[in-house]
Amino acid sequence: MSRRSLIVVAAVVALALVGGFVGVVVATSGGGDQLNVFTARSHYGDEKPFEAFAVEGGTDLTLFGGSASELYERLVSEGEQTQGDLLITVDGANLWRAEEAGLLLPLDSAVLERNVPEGLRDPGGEWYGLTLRARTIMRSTERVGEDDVTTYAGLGDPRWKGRLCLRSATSEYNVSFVADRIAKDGESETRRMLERWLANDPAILGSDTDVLKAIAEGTCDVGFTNSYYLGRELEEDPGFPVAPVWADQDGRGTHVNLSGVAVVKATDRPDEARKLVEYLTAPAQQRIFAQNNHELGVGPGIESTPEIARFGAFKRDPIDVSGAGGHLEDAVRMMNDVGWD
Amino acid sequence: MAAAALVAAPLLVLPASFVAAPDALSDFSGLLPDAAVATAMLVLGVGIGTLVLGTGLAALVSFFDFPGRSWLEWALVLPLAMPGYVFTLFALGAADALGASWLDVRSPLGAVAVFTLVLYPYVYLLARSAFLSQGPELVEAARGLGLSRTRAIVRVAVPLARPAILGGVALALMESLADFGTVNLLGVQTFTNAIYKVWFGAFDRDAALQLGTLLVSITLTLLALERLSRGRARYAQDSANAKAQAPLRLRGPLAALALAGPLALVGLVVAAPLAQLAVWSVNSIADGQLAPQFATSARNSLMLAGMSVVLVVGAALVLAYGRRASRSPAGNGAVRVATIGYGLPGSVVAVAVIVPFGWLDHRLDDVAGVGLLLTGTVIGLFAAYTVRFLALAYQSVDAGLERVPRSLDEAARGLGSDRLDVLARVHLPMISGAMLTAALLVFTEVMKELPATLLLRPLGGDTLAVAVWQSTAESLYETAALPALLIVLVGLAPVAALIRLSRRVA
Repeated sequence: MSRRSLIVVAAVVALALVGGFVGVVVATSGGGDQLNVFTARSHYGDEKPFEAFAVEGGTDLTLFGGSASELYERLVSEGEQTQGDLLITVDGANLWRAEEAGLLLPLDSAVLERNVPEGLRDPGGEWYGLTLRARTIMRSTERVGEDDVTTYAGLGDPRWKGRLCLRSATSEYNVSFVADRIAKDGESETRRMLERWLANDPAILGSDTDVLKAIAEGTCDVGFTNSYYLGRELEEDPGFPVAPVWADQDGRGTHVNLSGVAVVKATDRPDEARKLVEYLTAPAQQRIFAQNNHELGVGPGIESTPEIARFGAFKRDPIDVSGAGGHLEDAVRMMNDVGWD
Repeated sequence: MAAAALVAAPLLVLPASFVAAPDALSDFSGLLPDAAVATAMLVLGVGIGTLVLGTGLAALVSFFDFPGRSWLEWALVLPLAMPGYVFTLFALGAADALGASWLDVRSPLGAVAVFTLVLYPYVYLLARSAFLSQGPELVEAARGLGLSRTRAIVRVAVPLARPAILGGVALALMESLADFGTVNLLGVQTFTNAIYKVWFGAFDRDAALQLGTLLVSITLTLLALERLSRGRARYAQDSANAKAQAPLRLRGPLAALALAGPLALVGLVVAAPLAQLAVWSVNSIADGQLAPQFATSARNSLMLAGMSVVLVVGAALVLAYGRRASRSPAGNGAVRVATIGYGLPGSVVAVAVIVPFGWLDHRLDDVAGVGLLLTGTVIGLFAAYTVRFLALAYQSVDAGLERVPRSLDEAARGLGSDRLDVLARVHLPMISGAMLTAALLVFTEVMKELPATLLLRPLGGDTLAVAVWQSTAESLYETAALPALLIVLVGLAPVAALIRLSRRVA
């Protein structure tokens, strides 16, 4: 290579670099004239209500996925300049955290009050429930009887030693559950329960689905997952040998978490954002969100899918979003202390 | 040196966290012993594993000949295209399907096995190109002195290739230290897992940054050890472009074994997972369970990887060349600082980039009102990729330059060439192979990269890796399969090209 050709090559590379850079920046930037939805829901199959809204209202939408914690970090970090307009989480505690951080815009809307019952929305109008998810005990229908375990604490019974499967402690569902227990039962009772769970040498798996499959395959006999994961398995294989135990029916009821939606305070388009929230929480769309993923609806008349409905109605532990939200950090510490990996 | 400073600046955020919140870690002191033990096991296991496997395979294809060798030579690089988290998914599935409960994949040992299998190509590649550039004389001379061929290889060729081999091991170790996907899936409590737990579970940025700092210290120690072991020794070869050895021809069962053993390895690490992914992909298409915006993700992945190659390899060349041109202690220090990012988990790099960039961004916006120019676009992402992968490109480019004898520079200068001329007419032709290696390594790494991309990608900037992760997190393995398959396949193409071209160049 001669000196001149080196310079030519360098110049071409530099030009390509600048051109490519601008191209990539333009191609990957969301732009301002559209609504951007930060969503922690796996948006697979969830797109339909968004697409319908975009078509009906002529508004472009971009879905941006991530765990609620990651999305929260981004909103905090971007502050006033964030491009996010809506925040959707898969648990109430993370909604509470965003509200506490002053990231959310209170909405005043009769439509929303009609769509979402009281208790499943923020009294101040900063967030609204979209679906509900029960997190409960799962049992093998082949090796565990219906009444062998009926309470969360019962998973700590020594009879389940070596027979229990749990999802890892990094799961937001587990953290939210423990935080909720701490808020309602107190530190020491919750810790005692977790210590007894861990004394059973549970296998720690990577996902709720792994836990269900491990029960089906006989690696363990009981587990602890969200019920909609079982709905998915049963949809694939109606003979899947696992059933839920609706826990604590003689106590407060089965733990239920809230997947909800809120408008980001820093949004440039508050009216359109509110309309989208109203649209998403309308019964027709709620039904899609809930049934597409075998979740429970928040509004009246949103029935469960047959896969879940066949296990009957159950008493729900009342949702206390601020209680759980305030103990998220304590929950992580406690799970770490008792050795839940 | 300016380039080095730019890369290093975000990293200063890490130790600064100790000043900002000195006690942050005390809440999580229970995590530390576990993280230390798990990390030590990983370093030891993966170090020995990749060293033995990578060097052994490189020696096999460099010094011996057998039917299928030229084919095997490149097949052995293919695992490079297999991200640890994808292979882990496959391994977990296979262990479950076989009901092999004795095969405890979810353990530190399982993680060592996974990392060794997907990371040995780093050692293999660098060792092989070192063996090929050695020329036949040395091993021949050693044999002339009465050593058997095998002993000549072990006692002469391997020690001579030590800088390349240790460089490869260092890369493999840094990669496994920075990994998050694999250890998270396997439930091994390494530093990266602890960092994620503390940061996104307890929202304690300071404690997370401090854990990150400890991890950087480990990486720095590793790098220092590698440098130390090289010592002052230089391993320039006068015959850098010499014809490769005349390899010993293996026959009969030995030849069959030499082919079958490595082939089984490649089958396990590449072919079997590919087949599984393909089956899942077909299912997902049939069920209409395709990841959303799949085409956009694919396009984003390719663009980001392509641009990163130019940026990162360019920066590596500047660094390596700068260090060669002026051997000052400051220059050496700059290089070392600029290349530590590889041992950092992507999420820590991301926060190390977000903190100063975010601050700068908001100031810029206050002054000029331009919105978030750095963190709201791919610029922040490119910064993270540069911090993360500069070491990768640099190791390769620098090793290439090291093999160019200094006497050549001096000769060219003596003949009236200036520095630019030496670069254009002497160095670039001689290191084009090394630069190509660097380019392909960076390309596949960016395709695979997950945590930093996840945290820094702009709106609409989802990549294939993000698509894989999002579906995997929801246990939608079939949906995850097609993007995963594409990552692996796209990774395979440059890997194959790498071998083709490096053969022609060498």
